[in-house]
Amino acid sequence: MKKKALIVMLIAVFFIASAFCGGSNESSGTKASTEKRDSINLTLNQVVETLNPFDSANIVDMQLFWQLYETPFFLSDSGELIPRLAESYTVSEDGLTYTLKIKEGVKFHNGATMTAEDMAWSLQYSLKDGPFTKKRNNLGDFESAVAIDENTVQIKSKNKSAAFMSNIALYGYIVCKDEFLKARESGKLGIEWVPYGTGPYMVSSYNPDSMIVLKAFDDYYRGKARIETVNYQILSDNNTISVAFEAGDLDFIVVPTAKWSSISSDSRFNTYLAPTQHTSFFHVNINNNDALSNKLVRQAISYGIDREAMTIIAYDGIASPAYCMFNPNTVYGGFTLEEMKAAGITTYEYNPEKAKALLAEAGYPNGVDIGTITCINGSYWEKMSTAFQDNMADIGIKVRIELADSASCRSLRKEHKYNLATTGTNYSPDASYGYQYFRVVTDEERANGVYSELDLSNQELNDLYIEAMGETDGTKRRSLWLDINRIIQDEMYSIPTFYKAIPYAYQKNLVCEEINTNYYYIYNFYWDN
Amino acid sequence: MYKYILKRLLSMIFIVIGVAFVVFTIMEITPGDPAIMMLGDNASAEDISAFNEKFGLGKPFVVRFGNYILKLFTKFDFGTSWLTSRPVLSTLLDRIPITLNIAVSSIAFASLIGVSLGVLSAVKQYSPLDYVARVTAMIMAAIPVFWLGMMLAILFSLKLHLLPASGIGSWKHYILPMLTLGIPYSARILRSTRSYMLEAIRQDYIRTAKAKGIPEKRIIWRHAFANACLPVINTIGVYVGSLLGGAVVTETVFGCNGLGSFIINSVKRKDIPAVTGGTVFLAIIFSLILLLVDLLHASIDPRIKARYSKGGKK
Amino acid sequence: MKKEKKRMSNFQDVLYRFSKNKVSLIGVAILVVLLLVIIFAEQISPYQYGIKNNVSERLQGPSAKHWFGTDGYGRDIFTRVIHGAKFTMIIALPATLFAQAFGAILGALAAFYTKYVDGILMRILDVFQAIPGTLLALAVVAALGTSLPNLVIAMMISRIPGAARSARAIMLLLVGKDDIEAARAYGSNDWQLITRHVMPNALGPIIVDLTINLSAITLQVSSLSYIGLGVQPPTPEWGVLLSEAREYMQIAPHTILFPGIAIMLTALAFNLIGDGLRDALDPRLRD
Repeated sequence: MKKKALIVMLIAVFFIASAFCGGSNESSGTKASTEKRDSINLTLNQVVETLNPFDSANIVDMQLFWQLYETPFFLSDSGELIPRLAESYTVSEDGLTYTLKIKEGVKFHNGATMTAEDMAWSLQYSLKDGPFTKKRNNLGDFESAVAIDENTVQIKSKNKSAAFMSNIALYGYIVCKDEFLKARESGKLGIEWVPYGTGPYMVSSYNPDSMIVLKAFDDYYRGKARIETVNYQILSDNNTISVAFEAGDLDFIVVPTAKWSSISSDSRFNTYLAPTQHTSFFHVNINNNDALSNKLVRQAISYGIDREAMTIIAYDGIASPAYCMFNPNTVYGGFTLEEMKAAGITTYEYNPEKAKALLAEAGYPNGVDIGTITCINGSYWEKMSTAFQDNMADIGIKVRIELADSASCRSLRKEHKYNLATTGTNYSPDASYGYQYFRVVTDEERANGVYSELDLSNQELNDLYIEAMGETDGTKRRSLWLDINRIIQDEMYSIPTFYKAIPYAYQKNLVCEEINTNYYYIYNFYWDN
Repeated sequence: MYKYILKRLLSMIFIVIGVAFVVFTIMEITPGDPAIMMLGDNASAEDISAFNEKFGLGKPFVVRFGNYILKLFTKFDFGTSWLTSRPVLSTLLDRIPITLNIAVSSIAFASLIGVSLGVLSAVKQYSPLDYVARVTAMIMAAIPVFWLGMMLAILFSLKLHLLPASGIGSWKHYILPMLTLGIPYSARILRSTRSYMLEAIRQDYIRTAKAKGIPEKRIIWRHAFANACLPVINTIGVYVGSLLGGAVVTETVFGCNGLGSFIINSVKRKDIPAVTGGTVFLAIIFSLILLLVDLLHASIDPRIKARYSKGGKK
Repeated sequence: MKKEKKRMSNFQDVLYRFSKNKVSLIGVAILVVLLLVIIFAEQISPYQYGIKNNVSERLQGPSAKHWFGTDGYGRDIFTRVIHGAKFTMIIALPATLFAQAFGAILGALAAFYTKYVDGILMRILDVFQAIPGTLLALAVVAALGTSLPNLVIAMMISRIPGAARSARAIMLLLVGKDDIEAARAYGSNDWQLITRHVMPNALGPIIVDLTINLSAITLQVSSLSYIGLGVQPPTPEWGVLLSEAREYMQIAPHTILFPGIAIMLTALAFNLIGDGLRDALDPRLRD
């Protein structure tokens, strides 16, 4: 009798097992076919917030914006402006008025032709009036944009700024004005309704929680994209992403750093280590703590970091140690280690003895407790902080790590309730993006909600920054930025750690003609059989 | 009996209000200013006060809470996400099938394996089968979910190319999440079942039955198992509940974004309406499942049924 | 006096029967080893080895120098597992015991006072149980900050409703029984009924629950670390070891294997002891 129960159970188990195998046979059958593909499978690591380009500066959403929308110019890695929706532009004598000629015959996804009015309104909305401006920091110079005739747009700037057009190239998305206003009126904007852009792809189906499908736009003015369908799946687990990629479910991924060496040496895949303009660093709050307000202590900390080891621990070796606040790829502001040394700027290569000496000179021969690192949990920040903590222990500095989610970290940093904080920034379009950190905030500005994370009162640095941002002559600008670096490196308000690279991997027969430092365009991809 | 159901449904209202209250309080005391989170670091004081004005954040706690409950009960309005401007209910309706698919399939799988092995293990107490089943169960229950999930994905997807590693396209996508959650839960159900079965087998009336010469099979299934069913069903009910919102890790590993990950992600981004709406919605489903479990209870055990109807009459 | 003596002999009885159960003794042996490891951790391998980074020895497999290999920081995993035992137990033991104790008390009250207390208590528990445990834990940790005591509180709170519910189910079954009714008829008051008749009988299933919960809590800490909340680095709590190993589990499987085995053995020990105790406590097995 007992045996019967066992048999029944075994049969049950067998049925379950066979159900699994039965289903799977079909799938392996369909997978074997290798006909020419016209679709590509990609992944986003977070749920999409919105497809309204004026309402988000989130990197996940922006990956979709790059495919759906365009700006007047494309900003190349070296900082050049390549015409897209605008054919050309001229600057007035005083450097405050820009006149754009729009490209004629460009079609929106709904079939309407782009007008100067569309561009002027979109620029005005995306850089000044819309909600998006509040999420970005460096759009303050934009004054207004108006269409002065059928195909000319005039843009006014508050100050003379070298990066003005670059900012427009990065964030000045152009959409079909009338349809946008209609949709905004009806309250459907953003999630149920996707604005009409001019990009090579348009939305085919949209489920922000799991799957977003794009299809090639037939009337794209630079010629229809070679890949017809783009499937974006939401996947946030790094291991899953790499397993799905290796199993062939995904075609193009950002490789989890731990898997880079195995995937990059696998002949089944193409890989590309894309340089960035990104710097990872620790912000130092000099107003909160006696030790940290002492310049010598900050310098000691910087000397005490073994950056070579840190890049391996925190980023599996595919980052490079940072000896300058600005990534050397940063347009203008960035300098290599050699350039810094040649200019006689301190670079803080690993030197624990010097660190201890500086600490003793600062009055802490027996070490000091510098409080806590406010660290965003997960990702490489946690590893960067742990490696840092270990380095500091070697030179007698005690520091605790306080993990919190990014929302809490942001609040703590904004309220200046931190000693050290992990941060990273893409200096894009150029080093002027760092002004938000190093600036001096006047009382009046403070009352208006302007804030600076570091909250410095270094007027000299502030003034130099303003001068550099307004200087349009390349050589002069670069020498100004060298001076800025000299001050930043001497004061160590912010301690650079490393410059990360983005490790991409894609299937062998996928061709990616170009992957830029900060973006990828599926328009540049095609399948090769 | 109907009176009892009605009473339970009424108590669901209490649960919904209670859950909303707890979540409101939680979000109130956790650090992080929602306005800064939504508007960005450089939002001016005016923007922040406009945001607070728009969503009524300036008002006292009680007023906000009252308004929320009022809207919820009168308009079935779960609020609108601050982050996506999308009604929370529509996101929830998109996601609930995913969650239910995962929860129900894995509990079904776990119950099938767990209960049958558990009964067997109890009946054959101290036999090799009993030991093997128990030790395997203990090991299975101690495997971290993300590890089990990844191993299954590597085996079935990467090595055997049998199943997709992630996504929610077809029923095949649900097999790996089902196994990942089902295996540890089957181990837990096995343990509880075995323990309750042993309890039941040792009852006096079973011994009496044995003495009377009733066939053993009949005793085990008709008497002992019927008795052990009660706490087992209860346990399973509790597990279904914890699976609804607690499958976050599995959802993340397999990229099937259900209610759990929606709520946790919203907490991280301080999207209060999404957190509250999601949790309240979950609570409603959860209460319905508990009601079902209790009704099953009552239908199996006449003593409990009698007590319920007694209570109902009062 | 007489009663005291009787209770004592009961206890000895239980001990005797427990010691006759060989399999449970394996559990005891594992626990003894665990206890020794916790006490002599520093002597077995200094804590410093477990937190000192060494990038040149990163992600190495097991060797004579590093018995369990090294992790992504080049730290000795053996040392981390040894010292992790303490941190893990500091979280799991109090959290489980408190949760189970509160749960049992609430469950007994609910099962006994079915008139009002049961309804009210159960509705309150329903409220808390309807909120995902992870969310509760997340909220507690977010509100109080990540530290060991806060993790204990978070774990405890998220476990109480489940514990109370199963305790109630167990006791409800017992309260309906004839011997309890008989005792009541003989004039025992509620307190006596609960402490003498219901509790001892309910202890078995509750202990089974407790042992399962102990291992579950250890794993729950690792899940919390997975979503970004756990003890602060470089504390070598086992759950954190698991979640740190997550990204390397494909390229360096030993990083997840050894902490995993440690958790598993501990869970196994608790479970075996639980089973043995249940059998030993069961009054019906006495004759």
